Amino acid sequence: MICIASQKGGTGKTTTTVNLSASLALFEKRTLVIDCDPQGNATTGLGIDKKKVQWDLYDVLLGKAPAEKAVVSTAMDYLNVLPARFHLHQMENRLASTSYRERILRARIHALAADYDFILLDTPPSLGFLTLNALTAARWLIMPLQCQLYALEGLGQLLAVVRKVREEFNRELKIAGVLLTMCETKSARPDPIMSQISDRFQKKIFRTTIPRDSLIRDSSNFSKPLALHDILARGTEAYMDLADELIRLFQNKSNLQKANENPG
Amino acid sequence: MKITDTQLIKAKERELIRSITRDLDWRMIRNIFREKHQLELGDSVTYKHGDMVVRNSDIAYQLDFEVKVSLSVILDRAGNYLSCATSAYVPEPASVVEENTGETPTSESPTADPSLEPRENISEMASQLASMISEINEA
Repeated sequence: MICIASQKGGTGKTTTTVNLSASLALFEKRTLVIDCDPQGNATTGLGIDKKKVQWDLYDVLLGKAPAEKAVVSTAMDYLNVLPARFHLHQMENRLASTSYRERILRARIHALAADYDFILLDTPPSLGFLTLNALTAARWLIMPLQCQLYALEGLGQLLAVVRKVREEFNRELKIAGVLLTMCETKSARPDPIMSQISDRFQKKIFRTTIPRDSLIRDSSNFSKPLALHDILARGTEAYMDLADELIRLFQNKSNLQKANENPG
Repeated sequence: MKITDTQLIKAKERELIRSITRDLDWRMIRNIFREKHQLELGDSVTYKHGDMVVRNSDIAYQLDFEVKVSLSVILDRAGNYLSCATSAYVPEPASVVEENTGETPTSESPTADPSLEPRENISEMASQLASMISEINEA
């Protein structure tokens, strides 16, 4: 279960959730997107008409519907979504006095884990209640980052929250990597900020970077992942590379874990 | 082309679910519930529904109960516990709004130093952030 989070808006969280999930599905990995953002952009971006949805994450968190009943299919085989609608923003107030409020998402979606190879949690651009719940439910975190100073400050704040979440709610949470988004890859001169970040972060950063590609924006206007809009686009290629990198990363971790468990 | 009686199958499945339900170890379920969800089960537990489901490409049994919270227990064919999911009491919004603190955990995080050159600033912050990630992943 992977949370995609960043405190800052416009860093490419939802774009990454939508396009990475589509790419994982193209690799025939059973993938579920859980939209934890009341804006519901990941839901729309995966082609789901919110008006036609019977249950959404709000209903699941309230216990009105089991998570598996709220999951809907997308146009792609291997890709499902647990949708969000605007009333999800009321959730924090509704659960304010409950002692387990940061763990409620984890408890509600626990049973879904066995049915999927990857579950991606898209989060709102804040470090509030819904993001805390997503961090508490997830095993891994991907942090999209634009190459600019302000974004680094936001990343630091997110990491401080991750430390706190690990202390209080979820010891298992780890960083899968920092993902550089909206990179100017056309320029002949390498971006000095990108180079410095890559140097300092080394293995903590994904090798794949996401280019600034107007087709990504266009595909979101058509409410579909870029791969379904233009399979040959640079953005599609980047997200396919990222999916491949992620699959290999977890295969390696899984192999390493097995080796540690059975040293003989 | 039917080769046996549908009603017979349904009746036997119901009977199977009933006998599994009868023999559940409630002390163990209470412990699991307490540890996993920090919730205490009340004394009033009513059986709601049981069904056969598929988990990890194998048949499992899902048993639903009505208690102070709803609880779904999933076990495999060998009787081993697989998972449980809950639905808890949720207060009405009017009664809880004033209690909402909106509290978000925070602690020290690196910030930009306006006195530094941009390149230096980014380099310094990126180093600190990389250390934070290492500390999290290696803890």
